[in-house]
Amino acid sequence: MRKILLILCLFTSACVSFAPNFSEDIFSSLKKGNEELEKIETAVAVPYTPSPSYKDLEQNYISAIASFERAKRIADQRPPYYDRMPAAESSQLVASAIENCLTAVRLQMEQHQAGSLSRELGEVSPVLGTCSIPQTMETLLKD
Amino acid sequence: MPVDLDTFKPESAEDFASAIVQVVVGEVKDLWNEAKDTLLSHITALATAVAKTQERLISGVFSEADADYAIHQQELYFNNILLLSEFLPYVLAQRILNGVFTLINAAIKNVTGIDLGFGK
Repeated sequence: MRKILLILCLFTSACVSFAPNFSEDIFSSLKKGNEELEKIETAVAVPYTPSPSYKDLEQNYISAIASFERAKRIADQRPPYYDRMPAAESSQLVASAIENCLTAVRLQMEQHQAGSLSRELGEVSPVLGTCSIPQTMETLLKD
Repeated sequence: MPVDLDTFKPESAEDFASAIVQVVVGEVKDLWNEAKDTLLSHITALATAVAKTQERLISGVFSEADADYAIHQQELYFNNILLLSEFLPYVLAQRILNGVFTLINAAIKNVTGIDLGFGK
């Protein structure tokens, strides 16, 4: 019995999996969300106009959040799939990072909506950094 | 990778062991080179943001509510930096696993001519 198991392991080479497989779906959703976010950050950072109002950027916020939520939905399916393997933990880390990113975008959206997002405040609120991290994680899985 | 997979034909356990060590060392180096700059730049960006917030709060550019918002955002950023560093060892383990299986496959293939398709 043990021998059979060992042979099976060798053939699949996936008895243990430490990291999930790269997902094109998650990666492209994260990329799209980050592109929208870059537009928002750039608009907020431009020094010579009056700061853009929330209304000007509402569409960008919505489409950024939609993309990140899509990535989150797919990423949430991975930990149960790798049930009891180390890859369940590592894929959970990606899902948590996307969750943090979503929280950050929503927080900035509320701040902007309330009319209190100045250029100086935008500069010290690293939302883009927060959201680039899940994309970096997914890229590392590409190999 | 320093081991040439097309010609790798281990004649003893020592040969095999030293090839595995080379694979492991290669993977560690590669991942470290990939991740080092990213991690460092994130940490620098975070530190800059924290310092600027402090400065602007003291000089009165920021209200307390502004600083509260900024710190909350920085906290989320810091959380994600931690998640990224937690994630790296898993990636490394997976790459080493794949690398070693590729090596085993090459050894079997070069000795027997049968391609079992490990580590793909």
